[in-house]
This record gives sequence, C-alpha cells and structure tokens, in this order.
Amino acid sequence: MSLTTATTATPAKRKEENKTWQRFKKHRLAMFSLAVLGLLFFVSIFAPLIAPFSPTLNETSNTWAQPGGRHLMGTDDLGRDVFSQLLYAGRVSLLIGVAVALLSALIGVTLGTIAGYYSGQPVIFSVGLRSSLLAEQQRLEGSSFWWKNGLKWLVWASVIAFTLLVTSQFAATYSGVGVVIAWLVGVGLSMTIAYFAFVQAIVVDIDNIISRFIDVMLSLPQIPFLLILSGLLANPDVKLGGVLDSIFGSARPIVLIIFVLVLFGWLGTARVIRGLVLSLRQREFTDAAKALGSSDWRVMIRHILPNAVAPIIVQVTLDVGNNIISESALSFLGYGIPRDIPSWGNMLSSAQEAIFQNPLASFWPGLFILLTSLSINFLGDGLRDALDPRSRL
Amino acid sequence: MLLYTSRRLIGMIPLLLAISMAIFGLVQLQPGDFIDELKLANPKMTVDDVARLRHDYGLDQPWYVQYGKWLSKAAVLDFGVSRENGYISATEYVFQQRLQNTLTLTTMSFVLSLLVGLPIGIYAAVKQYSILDYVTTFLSFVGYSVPVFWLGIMMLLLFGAKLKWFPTDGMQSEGVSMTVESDEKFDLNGQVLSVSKNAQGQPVITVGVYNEATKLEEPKAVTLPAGIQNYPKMGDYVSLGQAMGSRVTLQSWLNATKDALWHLVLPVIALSLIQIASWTRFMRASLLEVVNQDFVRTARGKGLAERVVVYKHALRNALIPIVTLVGLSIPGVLNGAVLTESVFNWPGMGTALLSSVVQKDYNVAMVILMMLAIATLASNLLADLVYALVDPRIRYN
Amino acid sequence: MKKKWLTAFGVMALGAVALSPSVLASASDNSLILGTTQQPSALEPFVNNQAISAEVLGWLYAGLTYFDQNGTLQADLASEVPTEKNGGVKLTKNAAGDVTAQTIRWNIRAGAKWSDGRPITTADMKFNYDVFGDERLPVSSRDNYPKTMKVIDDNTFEVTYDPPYLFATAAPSFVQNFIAPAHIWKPLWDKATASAQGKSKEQQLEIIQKDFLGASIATSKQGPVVTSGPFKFQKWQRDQSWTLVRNPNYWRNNPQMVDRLIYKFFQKTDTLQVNVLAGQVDATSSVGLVASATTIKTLKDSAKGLYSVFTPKTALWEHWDVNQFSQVQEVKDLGLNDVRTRQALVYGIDRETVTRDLRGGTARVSNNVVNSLSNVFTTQGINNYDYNPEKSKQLLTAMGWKPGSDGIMERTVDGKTVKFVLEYVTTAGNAVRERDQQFYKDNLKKIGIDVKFNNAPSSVVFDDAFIAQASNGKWKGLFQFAYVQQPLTEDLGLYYCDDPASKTVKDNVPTVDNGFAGQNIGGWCNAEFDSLWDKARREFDVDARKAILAKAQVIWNRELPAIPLYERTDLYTARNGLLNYTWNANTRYPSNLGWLVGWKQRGAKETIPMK
Repeated sequence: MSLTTATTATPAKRKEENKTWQRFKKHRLAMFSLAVLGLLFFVSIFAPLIAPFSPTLNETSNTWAQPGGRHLMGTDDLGRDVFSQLLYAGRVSLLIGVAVALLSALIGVTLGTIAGYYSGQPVIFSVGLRSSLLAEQQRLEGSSFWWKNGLKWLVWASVIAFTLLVTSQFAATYSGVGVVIAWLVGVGLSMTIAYFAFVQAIVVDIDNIISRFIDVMLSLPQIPFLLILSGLLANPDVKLGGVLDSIFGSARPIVLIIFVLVLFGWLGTARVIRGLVLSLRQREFTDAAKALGSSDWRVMIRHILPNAVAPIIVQVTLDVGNNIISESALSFLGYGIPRDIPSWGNMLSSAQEAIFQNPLASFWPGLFILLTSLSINFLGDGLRDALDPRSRL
Repeated sequence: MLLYTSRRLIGMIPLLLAISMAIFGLVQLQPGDFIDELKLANPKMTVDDVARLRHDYGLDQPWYVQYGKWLSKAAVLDFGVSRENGYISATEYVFQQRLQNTLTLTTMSFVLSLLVGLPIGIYAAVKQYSILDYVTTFLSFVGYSVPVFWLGIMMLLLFGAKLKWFPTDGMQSEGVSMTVESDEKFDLNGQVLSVSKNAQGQPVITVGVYNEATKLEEPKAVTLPAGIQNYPKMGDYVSLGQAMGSRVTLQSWLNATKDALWHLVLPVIALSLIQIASWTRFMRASLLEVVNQDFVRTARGKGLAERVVVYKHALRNALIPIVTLVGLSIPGVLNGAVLTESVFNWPGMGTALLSSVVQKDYNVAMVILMMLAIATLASNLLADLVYALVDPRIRYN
Repeated sequence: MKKKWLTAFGVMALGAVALSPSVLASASDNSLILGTTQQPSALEPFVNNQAISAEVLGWLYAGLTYFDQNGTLQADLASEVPTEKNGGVKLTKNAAGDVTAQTIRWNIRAGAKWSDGRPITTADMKFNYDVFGDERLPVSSRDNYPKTMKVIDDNTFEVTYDPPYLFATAAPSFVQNFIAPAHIWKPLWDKATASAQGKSKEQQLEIIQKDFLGASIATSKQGPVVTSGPFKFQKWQRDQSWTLVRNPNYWRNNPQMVDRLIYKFFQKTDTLQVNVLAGQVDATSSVGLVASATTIKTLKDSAKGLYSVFTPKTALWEHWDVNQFSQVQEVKDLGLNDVRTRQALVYGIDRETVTRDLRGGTARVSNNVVNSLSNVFTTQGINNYDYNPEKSKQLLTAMGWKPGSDGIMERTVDGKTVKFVLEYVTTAGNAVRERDQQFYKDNLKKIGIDVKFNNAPSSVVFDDAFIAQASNGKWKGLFQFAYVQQPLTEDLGLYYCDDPASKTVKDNVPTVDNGFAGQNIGGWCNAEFDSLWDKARREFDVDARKAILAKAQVIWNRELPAIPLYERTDLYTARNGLLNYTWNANTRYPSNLGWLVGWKQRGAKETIPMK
C-alpha cells in the first residue's frame, strides 16, 4: 500500500487515474458487481415506476402467499406485495448502508489521522502562568498566544464551575459527614483542575486518548450497546432525540439508525487509518512539507490523506454491507426501523414469523442483502487492485 | 519494566473511572426505570406508591448522585444485587452463572472458525481466481450476510424439529445431571439443625421435625450412608422423598458431558459460520499481500519449490498480522454473542447484558460492561508487554 | 486439508446423532413439561409481580379462595367463602345507610397443611399481614389493604377494611394471593429486621432485599422449600428449567394429577415454537406463544395429531386512548374532544377483519370497557359500531370536514385551514400491534384521515413522562395498548374523572395539578358516569350494582372515552391426552386449577373443556 501520487503534478495524476480505471476494468468480477449494484440502486430509486403494486396496499385475506401468480415474490404479513416492498426497502437499506459508511469514514479518517499524526507528541490544552512551557509557547505562538490560551482558560473555568455545581447537588442529598466529604472531594477536584490549568499545564496525549477510547468501544458488545443508545435517544428528557425528531420528522427512525450505527462504525476505520498515518508521517514527503513551513493541518490534508485513499475506499465499501446487516439485527430485536417504512432488515425479521409457513418469505430480503454485500465486496477488491498495482488482491 | 507496568496499572484507574462514569450515565439516561415496569404489571399502583418506591430505591436522585453511590460501593467490590435474578449479587450472577456458559460457546466457535477459516483462506489465496477461490469467497459471504437469527432458527427447524439429530432446548437436557442422586431418600421433613460425623465417618444430620401431636419441633438424627456427597448443609430444608445426597460417577459424568456437547453443536456451528467468513477473508488478503513482496519473489527466483515458498516463507510472514488480529479478538469471547445465544436459548453473557438493559436491572449491565472494559485494557497492556519482550528495540522505562 | 476437516465434521455429526437420547414420553411417567418465555426472577410471594411468577406460584401456593372458570369464588384454604349471609362479612354503616367499613371473618380449613406436614394456622396469616404491611418491604401497592387484623384462635381471624373494599373476599390474602409459611420465613424476617435496626432507610431496604427477599429459599439456590398448593418445589436450574413434584399434603391431593411438572425457559418465542414442533415440550405456559394469525395457522398445520392448539380468552383489553385535552392544539383542530369525531374513528376502522385475518379469528371485538365474562357485562343498549366508512364520512362532514386535493380531510378552525393528520402511538417492537396499526392506517386513509406513527419501545411510552402527559401534548392523538380488564373488578374505574368523595378536582385525570396521577389518561369527563361509578363501588347489593353499572356501560359506549378494539386471546398448545390444562379471563393462569391437570392415559377425567 504505497502510493505517492498525491504530490505529483496534475497531468500525471490524470494519467494515473486513467490507468487505475484501466486496471479496474480488467477486474471482470468487480465490473459485474458494479453492474449489479448499479441495477440495485436503479430499481430502488425508480421503485415507484417499476413496482407493480403500492408497497402499502394490503390484502389481509391473502397473507404470506407463495411466489408466483399476481405476486412475483409472494405476499407478507398484511398481504402486501413482497417484490414491490423490496424495491422500496432498497431505498432505505441502501441509504443506511451508504450514509453510515460515509459518515463513519469521515469521522474515522479525521480522528484516525489526528491520532496517528500526533502520536507521541502530546498536545497542550492549557498553559499555566508558572508552567515551564510558558516561555516556549509564547515564543512559538507570539502575539496570538494570549487570546488563544485565554480561551482555553475560559473553558477550564467553566469545567470547574460545573464540577462545583454538581458537588452542591451531590451534597444536598447527603446529611452530616456526607456533606463535608462531598464538598471536600468536589472542591479538591476543582482545585486540582485549577492548579493544572492556571498554574502548571494540561498536556494531553491525544493519540493515547483516541486509541484507548477506540479499544474500549470495540470491547463493548455492539448490539446491547446499540439498544442503550436507541433508548437514550428515545428518552423524552434527552433533548437530542427531540431535535432529530423536529428536523427529520417522519424520517426520524432512519436518521436514528444511521446515527446509532455511525457511533460504532467509525472505530474500525479510525484504527486502520491511524496505523497508516503513523507510517506515512515518517516518510520523506511529510518531512519535506514540514520543512517548507506547512501547518500540521495542511500536511495532514494535502500530503498524508491522499496517500490513504485506497484503504479508505476499501473500508467504506466493506462497511456498506455490514451496516445493512446491522440494521437487520436491530430490527430483529425490535429496535430497528418500524415496519411501515420497509427496509430489507425489517422485512427479513418480520418474515421470521412465517419461517414455518412460508420460508421463502425470508429468502427474498436475505437475497437482496447478500447481493448487495457480495457485490460491494467484489467492487472493493477491484478497487484495491486498481488503486494499488503492486498487490494483485 | 516493573516500573512501567505499575505506572500503566495506576494509569488505568482514572481511565476506568471515566469509563464507568460514561457507561453509568448512558445506562441511567435510559427512559423509564423498573418502577414503570411494576406499574405496568399492576395498574392499581397509585402515584404515591410510585413516588414511594422511586424514593426507596433512590431512583429519584440525579444520575451523578446515583453514580457516586454506585462508585463508593464498587470501590469495595460491592456491585449491588441483581433484582431480576432473585436479588443475588450481580457479580455472582455474571461470574458464576453466565461467564462459563459464554466461554464454552465462544471459545469453541472461535477455535473452530480459526481451524476452518484459516486453511480455506490459505487455499483460496494460493489458488487465487480459481473456481474454488470464487466458491469459498461466495460461501464466506453467504455466511457473512445470512443473519444468525435466521440461520439459527433454520438449523433448529431442520436438525432439531425435522431430523431430530440435535436438541432444540438450550444447554442441557431435562433430567441429565453430572451427579446421580443417592438411592437413600429422606423420610421426614424439616430444617437441618446440625451436621456432624459419627465414629465410622458417616455424616449425621439432625433435623428439626414437627410433631403433630405435641405441636413441637423435635430434633431427629439421621445417619447418612458412607461416601455420600452433596448432602444437606446446616439451615437447609429436607423433605420427604428427597435424595439424601448425590455422587459423581463415571457414567453420570460421561452422560452429562455427552449431553452438553450434543447441545453445543448447533450454536457453535451457527456462531462459527460468521467468523469463518471473516477469517477466510483476512487470511486470504494477508497471504496475497505477502506473496507479492520482494522476499518471496527472491525465494521464488532462487528456484525453491512453490510449496516451500508459499508454506515456509510467505505463510509465516502472512500469519503475523493474523496472530495480532487473533490477539485483539480474544477479549471478544467474553462478550458473548447475543443473537446466537437468544436463538439457541443459551444463557450467556450476551443475553444477560441484553436482558439487564431491557429489564432495567442495571447492576448487572454495569458489572458486565466494566468487566469488558477491564479485560480490554488488561489485554492491551499485556500485548504491549509481550511486544517488549519479543522485540528488543522496544524498552520501557 | 479441507477433506480432513470435512471428515472430521462428518464424524462429529454422526457421533452426535448416535448420542441423541430417546424422545420424551411424558404421559408414561406422569410428568408434564411446560415451555415458557419468561423465568421468574425470584419466588418470594411478597414483592414479585411478574406474570410468570403468578403462574408458577399458583402451582405452589394455595390462597384462601380462588376463582373457577365461571368467575365464581370458591374456598381453597378457607373452610368457606365468607358472605353476609353466612355471617362471615359484617358491614358497618353510617346514619345514611352507606357502608363505611367491613369486617371479614376467615376460617382456615380444618386439616390444611403445609407440604412439610405442619398445620396452616392464623400465625402464618398474621406473619404475612405484618410483613406485607411493613413499609420497608418494597411492594408495588398496598391499595385496599386491610386496616387491622385480629387473630381469634389458631384457625380464625378477622380483617377490617376501612374504607370498605367491595372485592375483599376475592383478594383475601393481603393483595397477593399467596401466603408464605411463617415457620420458614419468620426467622429470616426477624434476622433481617434485627440487622436493619438503626440503619438509614435506604440501607434497611437493601438489607431486606438481600437477606429476606433474596434468601436462598426464594431463589434458584434452594427454592421455596415449603408450600401449600398442589405441588412442592424440587429443583431450579437457573436459566434452564424448574421442577415441581406433587405435594401429598395438599388437602385436595388428586391422584390423577401429574406427578411432576417441569418448566423449561426459552428466551425467544420462535425457539419455544420450534420446541413445540419438535415435541420437546408438552404444553406452553400462559406466558409463551403470541396469538397472531400466522402463528396459530403454523401451529395448527404442523400439529399432525401430536398436540392441539388452544386460544383461551384473556382479561387483556386492547384499545385506543384518545387525547381529549382541549388545551392541546391538535385536539382542538381535529375535534378529538367531540364525541362525533371519536364515533367517526370507530366506524372508520374494520375491527372485524383485524380479529379475523390478523389475530387468527380468536380475538373478540369489544364495544365496552367491561370484560364480556364479567357478570355485570351488558349488551343492552350497547352500539356495536360495525365497520361503516360512509357513516364516518357523514359524521366528519357534519363537523365541517371536506376532502382536500390529496384526499385528506380539511376544515377551517379559527380562520386557519387544518388537515386531519392524526398521531398514533403504540409500543415499538410488538409485531402484532404494529401490524394492527398499519392496517388501521390504511382504513383511516379511506375516510380521509392521514395517520402519523410515533412509536417507541414500551419503556418509553409507558414512562410517566409520556403516557400520563397527554395534557401537555406528549402524545397528541391515539395511544394503543392493553389494560388487564379483570371480569371481577370491572374496571369502570379506569375512566372516571372526579371522585366526589375526595377534595381534589379531577382526581383520575393526570394533569400538572395532581402530579400527573390517574388512569383516565385521555381526560374524558362525564358527571353522570362519575356518580354512577361512585354509587356502584359502595353498593354491596349485587342486583342493584348490576343495574347501576349497566347504565354506566351505556354511557361509556355512547360517549367513547376510549375506542375499544377487542378482547385478546392467549395461545397455547397441549399434547393430546393432557386434560384440564387451561385458563380464561377468570382463572388467568393454568395453575389456578392446577390440581386438576392430568393425563388421559393415566386416568384423568375431563372436568374443564380446554378452549
């Protein structure tokens, strides 16, 4: 995985792109998958034109009908046409798959890059007045130092205020010695923060924090945690859910699922990107850019990221399939998308009921999920091959 | 090294505090509490009842106050009781009743998926773009895309209900036990007042038996047969027709083990199928990456047999990232597998966590989530230390 | 390499087949294996109120009285049901002739014994009364708890209800119907309360939970060793199974009853269903299968003479509560507080089709808040509201609604055009309900009403902050759920508004003024209904009460404080040959008449037909 295309001139870049496309075209399976995916997207987007029935048209005297006759793939629990539902469901499932993958990639790449880039170089969150770092920071940042650091102090002051607020509420629930202890702990904590923020310095290893956070998150079992999160967003006292509601209206369940899946989705990407950036930042072109006075952000965006495009694309493609499956698992547990908005996941889990009566009913949505994840995977393989000529994978 | 380790260990404390606070906050911010569930079951509850119970259980306090209380107890390793499991301590529930079941299921399927997935992955890489490569890729994706809840029910239907090859009823057949009950049965009812041994080494228990005529409790000594095990302890109740004790025999042990294995087959296979898919993919990718590297080409160039090149040079190097991945996945076996467990009726960690969240039995959720966090941090530390031992370039001080 | 593995698999599979034990044969050893989807959290008879606990405790403990299938009260541990006639019930009346208190004298059946042979005495009753009344015990409700208890001798005691409680003889044993043996529980109680002495309230509660409610005789460690019902406890394998054996000391020990009862716990209904098909369970518990059309059909189709499928009537009443608080904008716009709108809604939905096609023809369309099994239930003057979209449209037109360009009704309220978009809330994850919901949405669309779902998991919608706050517009239209509509207690009390006896205004309507208390969550108020309800609850004469309640039902049916959908049924299977294993809205659990359950092959006689 070693591309150094990014820093070269534009014509060369275009040529490289052309070559990539040429290589990709040779990957027949990937081309075929692209066609299948294209078809899936096409029929989903144009579902209203293609579907023989309205997805909500029910006929309760004809539930779980076998495929054939009027209903190409049979009917579901309300006697609705499964084929038409699948087409409409594709809109939701593909949207979830793609949106979650893209958002996860965005967050994962950002945090992964930051973590990798700053690994081993602690970041200064506040410089106190008696800190040994003071002089050096002042020299480095010059006139902007005071307002920048002032802002940081303001943030820490509000953290302290919050700590004291919590302490007072805490103390109010105790009596006797408990009050004293609560105040001792609260004030002690505040003073410690104050000491480091205003007198010494708060220096944090960002990489350490992000990496440990990812480790811990990855250790948590996803599904119960997804339930906790969906419960949290459904809590009327937690305003976030209400905000989502007012913005997205009837699309809220879809947005909620996307939100919840992204929370876990970015972890893997971030981990991969961090490792990659760790090695990329040692490379000559990074050093060169730094020597020329580029800022950290510029180095990350202009020099390091373009070299990580291949693994990012592969990661995104693989994620799409995963997300569609995760949504079906949530639907199975009753925390997915309500059944009046068809998705492949909730169709599959509702067909579960008829597993004894009409096993084919669960075959169809399963088939669509399989087709999507399979072809996206082959597409990812093809892209990897095309973008990285050294590996034939 | 020792210094480094202890520094890391100390560093874990604030991290664990932060984690526990985050988890506790999340869990407490779930809508409703178990009082709502009580209310549902009993619509006659008045508002005062609800307020009284909320107050009794301390649920009317803000989450950070509850956290403080939780923390001050957790500091002395008291994680509270599991309300949904008969008020036994949450740690006892998790570690004694659930952990072992999960470990059996997940380690077996973990090992099985490695044993099956890696060879297939190697084969697919060596014969890249062959029919077999495509077939295994396809199959691994089928395994990957078929949701386990669907697959599980299908397997139960086919192998359980139709063919009757495997059981459908969870972890153990009714009536199968590691021990056999003694033939000697009690012929009285009452509480065990004391337990002692007689001169022959036979246990003697004294039971307080109620005398209908005098309406008094009279102690009665019962001598148990020699060599008996698991006989009643002081404070237990014995009743008419109850076996005096039990013992483990080879036959009963074999029966119980056979029964357990027999119950394991379907869930292990269902759970492995997903993992096999990903190991196959990883192994194939890793090997293909190595095969194209310079040192392998050199080896080929030297005229070594393809077999030797692949299995001796390439595979060895390709296995390094796999080993790292395996290491990273090990804490995952503690998670349990909630979907598999619930379909196959397997009482493991996954379902314990899920039901504790659903039933708002949060002490259990906290124990499990904290255990997972600690396991992850510990395995990270261990990995770093092992690297240091293996790689002489890394030195900690 | 692969071949080897295949071979290994083959060997494993074959080995496993060879291991499989013989198929169960329950009737042959007179045992009964039941499948359920819930496991009791604990088996203490004080605090726990899960449905499954009520069922399993029913096998273990006898109450003073019980209900038979017809809803008649029968004596169990009591020697007879106390009535005014036999002198067991004494009413205290004031000058106006109103009953102000009632005293009930109970006689314990002579020879009633615990499973360990000790007699059941008033000491047991006293102990239970004291424990249940102790405020440190977190019981869910002490409503209608007797004010005093007096022990007269070993077999006789008196309890006094002040204020009086109409159904006191039916709920004799201090709210819960199970009496725990004092000789087993009292030492634990004394120990727990002693160590709780002088501690803070919270610590006391914790000690009582751990040492008393969590005692080994309440949990899987040992189980309830001494019982009073047809069975005694044998073994509890946590998360797996639960074994009971016959209690020969039960006064009504029936030789034809099954000897052993095994509960198997399943986490998912689907898995339970597979086990029914595989013949691994003989019958399913009242907490198990879900009565949907598909499940009923599937089970019937694959029965093949092995088992039969039953759908007993339950006390569950599915309905829509309708927000009628006029301060909520949507309510005003849509006119939900106008009875014509509610009538239009009920005429506009095809409840008949839902019960037939979606609930497998088992549910019963309801037009009344009173359960059809109740002896005060009336059909006189009750409108059936048969599906009639034309009538709906007429009612809506009369209220000024006209179809808009998209077919959705529109009207002008306060100079502003509003569309008929109705919010519809129910519990997410309940497949059967969500299916109803989609069907009704379609129905209502046909009369020009657009429906917007706002479902959430039951923990959210049943949270006080949601369900009780219709007045704040937390939910703005319909809310579908089920009440337990016990035939005995009638539950007209759900929809009263103001209790004339209390000083508070609108006691039963949750608003900010009363701290969101009360069950009349839609906020319907009708003075005549309130006064009838108030009269009935103090009327101890059965026929007079019937007359009052018949009037109240007619008002309810006409005014529709809520929209009745149907009375639900349960679903269970039972292996052919199993007899008297059933329940209905009166008995509620199969264990209620547990001593009758037996196998035909073992000589049991059918006394209650299974439905």
